[in-house]
Amino acid sequence: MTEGRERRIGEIVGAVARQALADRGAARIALLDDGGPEAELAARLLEAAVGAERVARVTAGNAEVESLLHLAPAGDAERAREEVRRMRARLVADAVPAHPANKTALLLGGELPPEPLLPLGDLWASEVAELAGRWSAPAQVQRIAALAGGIEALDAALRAWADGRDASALARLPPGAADAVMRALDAGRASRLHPRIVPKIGTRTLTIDLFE
Amino acid sequence: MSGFPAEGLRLRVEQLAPAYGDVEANRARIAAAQAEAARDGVHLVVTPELSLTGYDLRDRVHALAAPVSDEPLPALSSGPDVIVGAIERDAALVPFNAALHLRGGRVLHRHRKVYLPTYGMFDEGRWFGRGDRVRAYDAGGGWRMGLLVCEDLWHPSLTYLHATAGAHLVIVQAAAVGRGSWAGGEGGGRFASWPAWEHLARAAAVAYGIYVVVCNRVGVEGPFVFGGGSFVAGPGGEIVARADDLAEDRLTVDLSLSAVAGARRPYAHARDDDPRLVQRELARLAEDGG
Repeated sequence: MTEGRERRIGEIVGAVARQALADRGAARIALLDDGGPEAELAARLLEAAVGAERVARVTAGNAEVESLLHLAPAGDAERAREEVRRMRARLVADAVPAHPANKTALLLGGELPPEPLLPLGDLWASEVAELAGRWSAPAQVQRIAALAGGIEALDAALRAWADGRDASALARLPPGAADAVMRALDAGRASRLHPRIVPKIGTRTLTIDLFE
Repeated sequence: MSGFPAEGLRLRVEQLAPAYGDVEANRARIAAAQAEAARDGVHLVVTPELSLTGYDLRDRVHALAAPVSDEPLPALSSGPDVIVGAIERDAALVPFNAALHLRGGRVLHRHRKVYLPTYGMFDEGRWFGRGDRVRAYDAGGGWRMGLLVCEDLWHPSLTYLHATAGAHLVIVQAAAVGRGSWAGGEGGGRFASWPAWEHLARAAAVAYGIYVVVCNRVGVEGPFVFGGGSFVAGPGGEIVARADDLAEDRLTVDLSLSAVAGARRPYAHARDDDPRLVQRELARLAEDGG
């Protein structure tokens, strides 16, 4: 059932990843690897597309994380780990950083990650679960999924809203879930509109109206 | 060089991945395809939308636009006819997304894309001027043809205009992104976006008794993966040939005016169509909105 889908999705993700490397003249992809199913799936697809030697899986060392914990809001260790991975990915030579988050996590997780490549960014969490056996997301998104009655119910509503343009789909979620989804969507809306922020000072501005 | 045979018009669809912004490389690639087609007895080679330039060019549209000219393109002047996708700049310096039918390197017919998608992922209206005419033309051997570009097919009024003007063969160049990998086909093996294209083309083919050829591109530009899946719909509405979904591919089919006549024989749709009625009713709609 999923074989054809994984093959096709692998072809698409792989083609875009190869193009991202070619466009930037980069040698490899630096994939932020939190050990979750998205990172596993993204690594599998990317390695199949460009070769395992061209995918650097970037993890965070405990000592590095501990040294940063005092800077993380409320001592949030997950946040500190993510930032360590991010920094290390940026330091990988000749690489395009990639974040493995799924579409549900990106939509409901607040600000979009700054990595230029989001290889699973158009796969819902429940689709990741079908391909990888499980899914993951930040704690706030997992709480929303529980309120919605499970990830399938949440993704079905999001899919109807986003892909089916059904404006009332989210309102049909259980009341607590509907409110939480709306708040989460609002929190990330600005970053989705303009994934990179460039104050417009001149006549033509990067990411706004200068694409040369 | 002198036109097409009425029977056995050999048409080749070249489903290419044009090099982004590299006109010279694309011209050489198409010339090579032309030379190979000549060896295979092909009369007409069809390439995808903007096959000379690539698609998502944004500001580079202006740099890659060529002035409208009736001078022959030497690089494409030998071998069979070829339909290329190019950016043309008119006297007012407005760039157009154009399909050019070249014979001996000269423009036999040009169609400027009328409907420029400017929604969702598309932004063509920002970069191109809009075509303002739809004309069928005589290509020799009794064949009458019409050209459309991508989104034009989604406006059945344009296919209707070609059919009403007597076209037997409508060529549609496309740069359609493959969408719906999850939903497409059993187990996601195809793109979910293709059935709609095939419905549109087959409906036009069977209603008017014409061939409809859709030549899409493949390849990647940024996040866009173009979906391939080029196909030929016969005058009975059947799919005669279909190309691979993602890879470069080639279709070669022999077309026949007898088949067009045969498809029209049991019906009288083309004969009975009444453009004056359509004109009258459209004038009324434009006047009073309904």
